[in-house]
Amino acid sequence: MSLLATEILTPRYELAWYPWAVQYFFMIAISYSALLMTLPGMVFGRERFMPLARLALLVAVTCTLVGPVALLADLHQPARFWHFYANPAPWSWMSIGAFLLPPYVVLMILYAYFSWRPALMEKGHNNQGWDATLARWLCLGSWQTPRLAVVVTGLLVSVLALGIMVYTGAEISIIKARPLWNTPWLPVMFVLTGLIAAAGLVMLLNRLMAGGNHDVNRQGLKVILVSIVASAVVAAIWLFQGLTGFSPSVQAALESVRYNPDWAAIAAWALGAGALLFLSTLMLLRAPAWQRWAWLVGLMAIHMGWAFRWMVLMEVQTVAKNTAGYYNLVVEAGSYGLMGIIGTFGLWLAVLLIIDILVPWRDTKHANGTTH
Amino acid sequence: MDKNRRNFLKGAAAAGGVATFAAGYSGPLEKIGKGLINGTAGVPAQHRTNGNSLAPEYTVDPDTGKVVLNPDQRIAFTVCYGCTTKCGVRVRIDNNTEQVLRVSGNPYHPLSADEHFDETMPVMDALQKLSTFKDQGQLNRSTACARGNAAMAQLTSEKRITEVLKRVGPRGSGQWKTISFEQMLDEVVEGGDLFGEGAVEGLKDIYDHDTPVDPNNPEFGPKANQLLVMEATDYGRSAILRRFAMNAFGTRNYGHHGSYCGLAFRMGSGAMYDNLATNTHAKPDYSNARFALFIGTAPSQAGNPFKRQGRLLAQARATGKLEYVVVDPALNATASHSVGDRSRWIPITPGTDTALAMGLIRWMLENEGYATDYLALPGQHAAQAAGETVHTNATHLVIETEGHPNLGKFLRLSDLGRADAGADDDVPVVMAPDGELESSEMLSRAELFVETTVATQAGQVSVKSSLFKLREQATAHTIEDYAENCGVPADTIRKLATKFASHGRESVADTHGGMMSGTGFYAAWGINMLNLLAGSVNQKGGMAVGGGAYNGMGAGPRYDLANFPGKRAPQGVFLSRSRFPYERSTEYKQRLAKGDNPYPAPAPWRTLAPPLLTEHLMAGLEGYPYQAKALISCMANPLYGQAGLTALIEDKLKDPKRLGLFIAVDPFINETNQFADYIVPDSVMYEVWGFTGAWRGTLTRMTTACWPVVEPRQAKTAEGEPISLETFFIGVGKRLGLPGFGEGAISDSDGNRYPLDRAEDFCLRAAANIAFTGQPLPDASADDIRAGGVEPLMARLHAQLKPEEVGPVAHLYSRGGRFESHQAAYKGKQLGHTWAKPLCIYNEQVGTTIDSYSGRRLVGTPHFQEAGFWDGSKLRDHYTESDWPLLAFSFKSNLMNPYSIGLERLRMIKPYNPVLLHREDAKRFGVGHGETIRIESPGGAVTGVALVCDGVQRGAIGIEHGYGHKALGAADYVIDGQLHKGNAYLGAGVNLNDLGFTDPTRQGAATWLENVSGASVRQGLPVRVSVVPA
Amino acid sequence: MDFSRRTLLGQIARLTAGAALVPLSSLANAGMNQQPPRREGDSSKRYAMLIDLRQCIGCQACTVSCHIENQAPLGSFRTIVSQYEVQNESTGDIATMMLPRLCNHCDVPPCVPVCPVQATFQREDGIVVVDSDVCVGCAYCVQACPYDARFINEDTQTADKCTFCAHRLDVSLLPACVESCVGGARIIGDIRDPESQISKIMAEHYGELMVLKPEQGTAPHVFYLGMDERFVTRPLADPAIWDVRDNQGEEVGYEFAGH
Ligand SMILES: Nc1nc2c(c(=O)[nH]1)N[C@H]1C(S)=C(S)[C@@H](COP(=O)(O)OP(=O)(O)OC[C@H]3O[C@@H](n4cnc5c(=O)[nH]c(N)nc54)[C@H](O)[C@@H]3O)O[C@H]1N2
Ligand SMILES: Nc1nc2c(c(=O)[nH]1)N[C@H]1C(S)=C(S)[C@@H](COP(=O)(O)OP(=O)(O)OC[C@H]3O[C@@H](n4cnc5c(=O)[nH]c(N)nc54)[C@H](O)[C@@H]3O)O[C@H]1N2
Ligand code: SF4
Ligand code: SF4
Ligand code: SF4
Ligand code: SF4
Ligand code: SF4
Ligand SMILES: [Mo]
Repeated sequence: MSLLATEILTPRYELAWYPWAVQYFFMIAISYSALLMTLPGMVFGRERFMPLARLALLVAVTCTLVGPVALLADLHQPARFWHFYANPAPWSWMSIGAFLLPPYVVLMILYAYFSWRPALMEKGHNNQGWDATLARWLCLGSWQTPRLAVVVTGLLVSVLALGIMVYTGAEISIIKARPLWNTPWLPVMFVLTGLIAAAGLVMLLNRLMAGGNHDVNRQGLKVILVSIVASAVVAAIWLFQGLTGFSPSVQAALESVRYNPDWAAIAAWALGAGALLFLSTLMLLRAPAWQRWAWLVGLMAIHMGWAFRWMVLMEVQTVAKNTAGYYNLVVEAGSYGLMGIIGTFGLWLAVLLIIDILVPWRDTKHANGTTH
Repeated sequence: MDKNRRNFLKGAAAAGGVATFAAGYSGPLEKIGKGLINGTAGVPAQHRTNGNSLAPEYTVDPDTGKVVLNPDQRIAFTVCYGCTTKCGVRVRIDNNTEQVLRVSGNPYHPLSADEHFDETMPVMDALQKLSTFKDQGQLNRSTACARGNAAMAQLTSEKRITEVLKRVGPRGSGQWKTISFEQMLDEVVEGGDLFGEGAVEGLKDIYDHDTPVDPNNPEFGPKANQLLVMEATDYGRSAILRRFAMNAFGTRNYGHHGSYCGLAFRMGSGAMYDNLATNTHAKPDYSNARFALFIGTAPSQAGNPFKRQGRLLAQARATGKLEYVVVDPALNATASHSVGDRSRWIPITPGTDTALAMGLIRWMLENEGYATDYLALPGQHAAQAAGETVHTNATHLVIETEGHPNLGKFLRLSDLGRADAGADDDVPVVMAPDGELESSEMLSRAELFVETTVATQAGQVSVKSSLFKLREQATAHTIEDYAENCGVPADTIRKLATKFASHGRESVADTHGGMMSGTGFYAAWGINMLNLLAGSVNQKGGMAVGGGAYNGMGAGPRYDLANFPGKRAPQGVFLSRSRFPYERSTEYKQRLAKGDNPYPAPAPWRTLAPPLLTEHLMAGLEGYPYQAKALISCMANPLYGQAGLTALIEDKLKDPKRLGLFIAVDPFINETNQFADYIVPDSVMYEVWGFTGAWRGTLTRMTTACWPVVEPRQAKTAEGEPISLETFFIGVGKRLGLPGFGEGAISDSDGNRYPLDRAEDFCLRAAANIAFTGQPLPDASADDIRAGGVEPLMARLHAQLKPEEVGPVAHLYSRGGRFESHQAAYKGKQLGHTWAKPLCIYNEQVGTTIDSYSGRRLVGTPHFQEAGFWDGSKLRDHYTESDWPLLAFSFKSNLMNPYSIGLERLRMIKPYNPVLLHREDAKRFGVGHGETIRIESPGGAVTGVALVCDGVQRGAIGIEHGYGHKALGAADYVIDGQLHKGNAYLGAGVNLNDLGFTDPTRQGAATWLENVSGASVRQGLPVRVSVVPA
Repeated sequence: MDFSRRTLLGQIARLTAGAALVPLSSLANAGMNQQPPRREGDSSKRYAMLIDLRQCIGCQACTVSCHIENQAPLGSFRTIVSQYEVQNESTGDIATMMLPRLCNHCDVPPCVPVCPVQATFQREDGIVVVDSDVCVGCAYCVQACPYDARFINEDTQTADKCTFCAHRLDVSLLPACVESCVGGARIIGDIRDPESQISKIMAEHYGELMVLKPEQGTAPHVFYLGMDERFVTRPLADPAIWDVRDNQGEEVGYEFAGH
């Protein structure tokens, strides 16, 4: 390495965003990705996609509920969240996000509610016990669920999901100060890796909660395959832009990590994990018999989606902006580290199980329609 | 599975998930809670956009410049103890909490201010001039450095000792109990079985001027000499300490840190300025010099005065006309990349500076690169006639004939029978241009290079002129040889010399800490010689001795603080055997009488050296020349500061049989006083009384006044005085009934007597002396008293002083001292304050001094030397390069000082000291950047982190000083059964002194000391390194 | 040095030379740059700082005095001076480079528009401040500042940064770091006043001034004199060693880490 200088004394800084940020970006990306996977079945009425839609909806709802909780934790002044609404700053993507998020959550809940309500009604009618009572109560009356309600809320929440995709991507990618973020490809990658992770999670739940439906596996694998190929293309374009100097920002990004062995390892990992995921997805699609192992691929996909965010949000923060060094990324045990990460998953699991107990989501069917 | 059961399990799992979440979310939840209650998850900030920034101490109207003081705060002027520079500072104090808020420079003070304000300027005007009003504040700043800013935390440090401590375990066990001041006084004075370890002689037993300490060696003096009193240096409070030690108790053995600070430099310099009594040295007039060579000193990295030098250097290189070169084993802050060619760093091998100096001298002598006309001035008459301030002894003739009674002395008129020996007119003889011998005071010009024989009353003698002798030494080796030795290329030496010579009398060469090597004395002299040859001493743009200080502690215009009835003059031989020729000792005479070769002496007797703390401790513990019985250590830490001392004496110091009583006066438990029997708490800066002097190179006369601008935090005596160094010595003095303390100890000019019971009894009278020196100071105005923060002092002034003294003394304290006007700095092309004694190329005193090992005379001019030991053998004879391939050296931290590690605000910037290792050496020893290495010397080993770089000489390894503490907060201690845990962060890094070792030719009885001066050798310690496997 | 690095440096160097001009010429329409409107402060002034690196001795007096004046938490810095060992390209000499850093009070401050709650704003006099009563501590601005000039203050739990000591400037006192600058390197003042010391020095050294990361388009208002253009952006250097080891050589970490 050719050197200009030796640093004798430079300050070190704490990372300003905690792993909570990763959790939010992970959850919210799964949320909108899974939402997209519900659409063919749930909104457009394609029966073939209903098993997928059922699982995807479960995933979407749970992640939608948990994501903002993580987001709140990443604020150093969480109790001041209302300042977002008292002092809007329409020129700030984060402010825009703050305005998008509540309707998104509400619409997501409504969409799920309308989707689940027929089954809930059925459960309330046909059963006894506290859960049936609760189901009846949750139905808020005995009116028929209009199919249109599902379609409209589904489409509306999808529009907002688009907003979420754009804002979460833009929020990060407009930061010129961090060349590794400052690329229009970042939002695209967020979506693609979000799809991968969402599909992975759906496949995992498919195995754990839905008996391993084949359609679901196949559809999920396809989502992953398409997304991973697209990601590879995007990554290649990004790299090309950097190496040729076409994009000074990407070039600067590459420069900023070029001599760091940790970053070399990260790149190698990303390449390896991507290739592995690609190959196994391809293999499973080719050999349907092996698709009972799809949940494993699902796990890999989840890992990919999460780790991508970890790398982008946490590792990038370690690149000193002024000095040659890299700040220490110490994942502490407590709230602002490991426990925070685990806690979010704990919350998600809880939400999932509670819904599972209360809502007969497996019986989700189109309003006025029949099951299966 | 049954549905309910399944639901139950799911519910349980969900609950588990929620619990995990709650645990994970505890942080945010806490913040939400706080946020809901307080409106913020943090501590509410004082101000919306200014956060917790301090309230301004005053405001200035942007249109009129009117100053309005903040009634909640006051500004007071006192001294900073952030390092030995002892700058005058302005301290901002919260009037409600009495906490120090922040510290900055005293604008009247030359060590802090760009151009210090005239003391006649009202304080309110001074405050205005510090503001942004018309940009005045930054056109002329007065600053405090990083340490000066951070040091206020010493006041409130949790490591501070505020009660009198007495050890309860063995020495050094860290077990203490608190006792009253009065009990401590009783015990240390009376002695007895104080620790259950047997009888201890109290100070009253040692205070004995009738019994000789050693009847066989009566010249050693009285038993009272068995008290050793040591301090770091004069932090403005030494007068009382010395009054006690030397003039009241009357021990010979007082020592300060000089011998492990920069003594080799000071003596080398003293040799040139012909003042080995107080070792005169000078500093560059930075603002006007054209070219400066810094060889072994690093202004702006360290240096005394640190801040003043740093500032002047920065200004001179950026906007002035200064160009300079730093010759140093390590790159440091002095060499600034931003000024390009105006500052350069040239690496040198540690301990080889005589080679460089002699190389430069050789070139200058061979290429007429010296001030010929100036050097040719033989005497003061000629100098005056030529408009010079001082002459040199370049032309004086040295008697060279062996056996001549005046061998090594200058040929004087008396040698020719033209004057009485020793008479005022018995001046040196020089050779006139016509070859005649003439009185140096008669000629206007004399021959520079003379080697001849002359007829004297004692027969024919051969003589050589000083400059001739210097040339002889310089030409004894080629520049290539010198280059080879010191690692500076011959070509570079020539270029440096050319450059230095080209700027003539505006060239300066300065040195200091880098001279603490095995060749330091002659190296320092050689480097100073460059100034002499260039003729830059006393010149504007040359070397400045400075304006000196106002002495209030002497026999002043108002009070006599120096003399008192019963005052003693210490008698006998110093423990360090300095300033006393071995040849006058009984031992020498006896050996001679027995027909034995009296040489070598059992240990060095250094005739030229001042009392040496580097030897005192070892001598007193070893009992040669005699045993010490008690040690009083004030604010000093030789075990941290002297290379190799800890390993050498730690065990002996722990042994009460070797040293009966060890009392330390200090606010902190440091590496040295952790072995004390008693620790008496002391004031910390801002709480102290006293007067600190001026550094060399401060062009105008100045004295800093310090007074307790905040109340001392330590416990009080029964009389209600804060326990401190002063209360301790006054207390012991009164209890022993020593003269000079208590009732009637101070007299005024009319013979009235005043008591000395408290520090202020002494210091306020000293203030009166200073205020009335020369033109007395005017009275302070009411505004001055308010704006200068002296209101809290006024009651004391009225109580202690005569009415006519109050106003001027208040004036003095309201300015933080007394300062000569900046105008006095220059007189035409010369400096306002100049050195008057002839400058020495050859120093008679040195040239006639006998080395107590060999019995031979020392060389009387600078000369080439290799680092060696007492017996004259070379370092490399004992420790070969193949075994010890690297030479370790140390340099001061620009951030830390030896006792600042407890300051969090410094530690947060630089928490450790990585060790500098050259890229090539790193490769040679397989060390990677940032790897942990073990550094091993003949005396010890340390573990550090390697900073692999180009900023260090090949073959050398650099250790920044100020880290690697073992105590001073790093160690555990127990007081009254309560454990005070040490902080591992305070022990971070390495201390070069742990690598120090004993002089192998002194049977392991002493650390390595430079031969002539007895200065601790810390530069150029042989070491080897190895990687510590991770 | 390899090719891509060279081109990058070349690019930056050019940008640098031009960058000194940017803020000066944009003075007239300061505040018109897709930024939320400036508020508070004296609109007749534009504060800026000039740091004469030739006079910086790396003493860190600025760092500590700022830390005390503004009561930053231990380990967090509103300003600090980086120190490098550098080789002079033409002479091959090794020398020390000091680089004081603080908030640049950019004319186009990327930290301002990102703030989702308008807590960070620019005063009319150019000083960028944070309203800690409003700040939600999202740290978005910390990410957006290209200079690592911001941090989340662990005491207040809000964004913190250099304010040019507005509380002192507003009452005609010097910022702590300027007041304490031992080398006299830091000069603050109103660049709209042609008679101010800073304006005069800037005029005198107009062509030599540099700013940090000019390619970011932030128009910094901390100007450097005596700057090596290789340091205007993230330098390619052997990074500082941050290991802290105790007496036994055991790694003890950074004492002031954590939030
Ligand atoms: N920041 C700061 N300033 C201080 C102090 C402090 O602790 N911190 N202490 C004060 C005190 S007490 C003093 S005495 C002064 C001392 O001030 P200086 O003398 O300026 O400082 P030192 O670091 O002792 O030594 C000067 C230089 O000598 C170099 N050196 C070491 N060995 C050799 C050698 O063999 N040859 C040559 N040519 N150079 C060598 C070192 O690398 C170092 O850079 O500083 C004072 N100022
Ligand atoms: N390796 C290496 N060794 C060195 C040096 C080096 O550069 N390198 N430098 C040498 C030099 S130049 C010097 S001058 C010596 C210094 O060495 P010394 O003068 O012996 O001691 P210091 O460590 O400066 O501090 C003395 C003690 O004063 C106490 N103290 C601190 N603040 C206060 C206060 O406010 N009030 C009172 N009453 N006491 C206080 C503390 O206990 C501190 O340990 O070290 C020398 N040793
Ligand atoms: S140089 Fe700094 S630490 Fe030393 S006395 Fe002056 S202000 Fe204090
Ligand atoms: S330096 Fe950073 S914090 Fe300061 S104004 Fe510019 S972008 Fe904002
Ligand atoms: S941390 Fe505070 S100032 Fe910064 S962007 Fe967030 S809300 Fe605004
Ligand atoms: S201007 Fe004030 S806040 Fe900014 S760096 Fe200087 S001292 Fe700190
Ligand atoms: S105070 Fe001034 S000279 Fe010292 S480091 Fe800071 S900017 Fe440089
Ligand atoms: Mo010293």
